[in-house]
Amino acid sequence: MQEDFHYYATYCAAWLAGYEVSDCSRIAYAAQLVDLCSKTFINRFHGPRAATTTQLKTELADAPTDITGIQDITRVWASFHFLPGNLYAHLPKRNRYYMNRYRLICDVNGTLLADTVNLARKGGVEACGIAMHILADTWAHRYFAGTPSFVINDAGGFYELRETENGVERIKVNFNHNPITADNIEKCSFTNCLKQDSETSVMNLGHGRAGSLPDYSFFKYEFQPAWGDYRILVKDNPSDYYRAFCQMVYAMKCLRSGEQEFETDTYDEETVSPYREEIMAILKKRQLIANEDWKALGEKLTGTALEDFDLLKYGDEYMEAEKGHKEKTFLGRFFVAALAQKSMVTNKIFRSGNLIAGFSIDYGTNGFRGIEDFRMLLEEMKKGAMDDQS
Amino acid sequence: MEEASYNGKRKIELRRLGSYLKYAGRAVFFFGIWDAIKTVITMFLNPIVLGIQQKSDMNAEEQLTQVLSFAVLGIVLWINILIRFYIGRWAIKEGNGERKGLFPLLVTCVYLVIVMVSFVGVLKGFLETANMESFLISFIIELTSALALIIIVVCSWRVRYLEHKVYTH
Repeated sequence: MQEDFHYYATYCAAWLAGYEVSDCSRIAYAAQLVDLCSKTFINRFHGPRAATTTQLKTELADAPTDITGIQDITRVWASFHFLPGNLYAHLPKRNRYYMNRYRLICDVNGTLLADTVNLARKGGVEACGIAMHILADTWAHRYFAGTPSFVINDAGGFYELRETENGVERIKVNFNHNPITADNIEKCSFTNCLKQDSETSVMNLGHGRAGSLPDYSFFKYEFQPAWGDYRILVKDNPSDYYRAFCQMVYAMKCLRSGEQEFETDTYDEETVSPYREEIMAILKKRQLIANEDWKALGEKLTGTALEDFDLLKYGDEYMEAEKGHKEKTFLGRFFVAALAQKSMVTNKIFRSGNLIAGFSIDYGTNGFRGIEDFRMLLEEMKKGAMDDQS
Repeated sequence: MEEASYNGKRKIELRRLGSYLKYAGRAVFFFGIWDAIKTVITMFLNPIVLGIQQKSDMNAEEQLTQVLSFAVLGIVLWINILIRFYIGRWAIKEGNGERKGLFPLLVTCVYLVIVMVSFVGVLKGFLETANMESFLISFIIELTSALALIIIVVCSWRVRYLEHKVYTH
């Protein structure tokens, strides 16, 4: 998904879930920051590099694709953008190598999603924002995996299913590989990653072969993923995005209550239904990005002006905080929440018998044996446990 | 009804066969290009061919016979290449869902029979040759090319059978 949904739509959903305007802003900011918190961003503030939640194209271009490189890439993308739907999926007549990648396919309403939202209960609004980003991305990025894999993420046979006056028209999607050319909605011409037969090429990471189609809320299309064994899948983005919105409202109500456990496949359509027409109109409007429309809705809901996303908004606060107090700043709490999320997902993948995200140690129970960045997370967890006891 | 949906068993198999046809068609097409390169090397860079120009003990009639033989050989080789291009192109179109009748399929079947028969000569040459390595490589390429033709024939028949089943039942 893009800034329009991660920032502005999340802001609207947070308001409908009952958060105050200031908290809505912080949740929305954290949700959007997940797409921008790269090593380059963290280095700027001398933050913990293990807390990266994304990798820029320039970073990916330099990323190694040996075993450790793949593990590094997978830890980031599977934890924050392509949350696996079923780590214990089974297919007949497939070897372990294939199944390790198949089990990372992102899908909605997996057990990891419940773990993600329930984990955010221990954090503040920053953790809530991260969880909402991940939840939204499970709807947009479903059917692709957060690891470079040709046999999983390659795809073809893209056709737009466009609603016209004469019914549904099936229009072939034309892809080009020039990143400078803009996507053309009317001609159905989009940019995607070059086809690379190499299994672990970064071109085969996530939905690169589908270009930005999963991130356009108005787009309904059919395609054949490589893992689908010649099945055609239909991806109805307007419908999926609406469900994502309803699920976000429900999830944030759970988080706000502090006690209610998040359950998958549950949507707060009752709260959202008065705005359904407006939301569907935004989602179905044929435009590359819907920032203005979502912003207008957010301002209408809250009655206050909604500032545009500013990446460096909380940078000074973090830089000026003294060592030992950085975890109390917005960015500090964001980093801790990101570390917690990455740890949880990596641990779950490791426990399922899959080494594609690397080894994972239960440092909370077995003592600290890990990289220095995670010591920060462990200390915060200990503080949280002491607060619970008192 | 299952067949009416996108992902009925037969529709999935039709897509799979279409994909096989496209890949096999490309293989036959590119083997045709390989044949063209081999033909050029055989005709213009072969020491025997070059030697004809230098032999002074052959009379005009013998030289003409030699030249005509090579000309006929050249024509036959180029017809072979054109047939491969025709079959390869047709198989790719067949894989994309365009049906051109039975004639191209019959041409492919006949050509496949000719290729299989020619293997007898190839194997004979294999047993007699001193240069085993280069012959082995050529043999493997010819075998792969024949396999691509077999895939095209089998898949094309199967596609027609399934389409008949899907659209008449």
